[in-house]
Amino acid sequence: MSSAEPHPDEERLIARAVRGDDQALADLLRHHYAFLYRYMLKITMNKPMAEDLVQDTMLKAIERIGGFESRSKLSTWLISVGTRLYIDEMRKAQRSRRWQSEEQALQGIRFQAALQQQEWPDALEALGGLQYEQRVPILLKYYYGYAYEEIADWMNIPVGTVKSRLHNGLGKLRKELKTDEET
Amino acid sequence: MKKREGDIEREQEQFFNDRLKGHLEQWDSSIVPPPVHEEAFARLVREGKEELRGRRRAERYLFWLVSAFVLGGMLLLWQSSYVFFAILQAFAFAGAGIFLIVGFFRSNRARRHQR
Repeated sequence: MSSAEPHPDEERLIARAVRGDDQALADLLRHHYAFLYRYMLKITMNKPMAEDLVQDTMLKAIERIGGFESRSKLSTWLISVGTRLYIDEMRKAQRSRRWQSEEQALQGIRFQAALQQQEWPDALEALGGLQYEQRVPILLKYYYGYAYEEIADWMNIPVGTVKSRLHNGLGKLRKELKTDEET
Repeated sequence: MKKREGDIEREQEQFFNDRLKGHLEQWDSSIVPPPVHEEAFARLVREGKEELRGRRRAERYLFWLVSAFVLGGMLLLWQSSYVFFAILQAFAFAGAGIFLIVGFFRSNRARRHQR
């Protein structure tokens, strides 16, 4: 599973943060910042949105850290909070068209890759072209290795819907990549 | 012959590993998050908690204000008609009971979501 390396002193820091220690919480958030940003950028494929969602996720974590029970890793908890915020944001965005179009956002990421002199492969292009409802479960299941039940809970959908979105999403990717190979 | 669910899952995972995982790992390792100064995290926590305290204080004031209105109204009703007062009390008790039961189930669900 792709996950953040835990802070060497994570358990003690979490215990202090849960008790209300601001410095411990700041240390934890700083340690998980890069991991969270990378996750948000991969699921959103939209740089400005990923930056906003990282901040919102951290604010939500600050609000809820008192109730964190260490049943899961802190990185998993942050992913669950971030995923829920992203799903909510996309549902709202579909009503208000607040964010830039997916194509514009993807252009920004392609441009960023070109600046770093890196190629932007067809596979990532195809992943970026998927609807977020399919992209999120694909990344959570096969890149991060989470269970169907966890993904269903975070996306607020039944397990069967997660499975069908994975099936349909991967089917589209397969078709897209096959077409690219042929042309 | 119809494929078993396990076989389909394995096939999907294989496809992902063959065609996407490597590219994703490469991209992942090249992503550089916008630089944030160490102090910014401490400030975010401090300001986030201050905002939270402010929000809770505002909610508490609103609660006291509404309570004052409700209690004032109840006193007026008590003075004008015992019967109406009793009926309203009965409805209020029933409403509070339903609210508590619904709230209990909702908070259980929210706690599960937080984990």
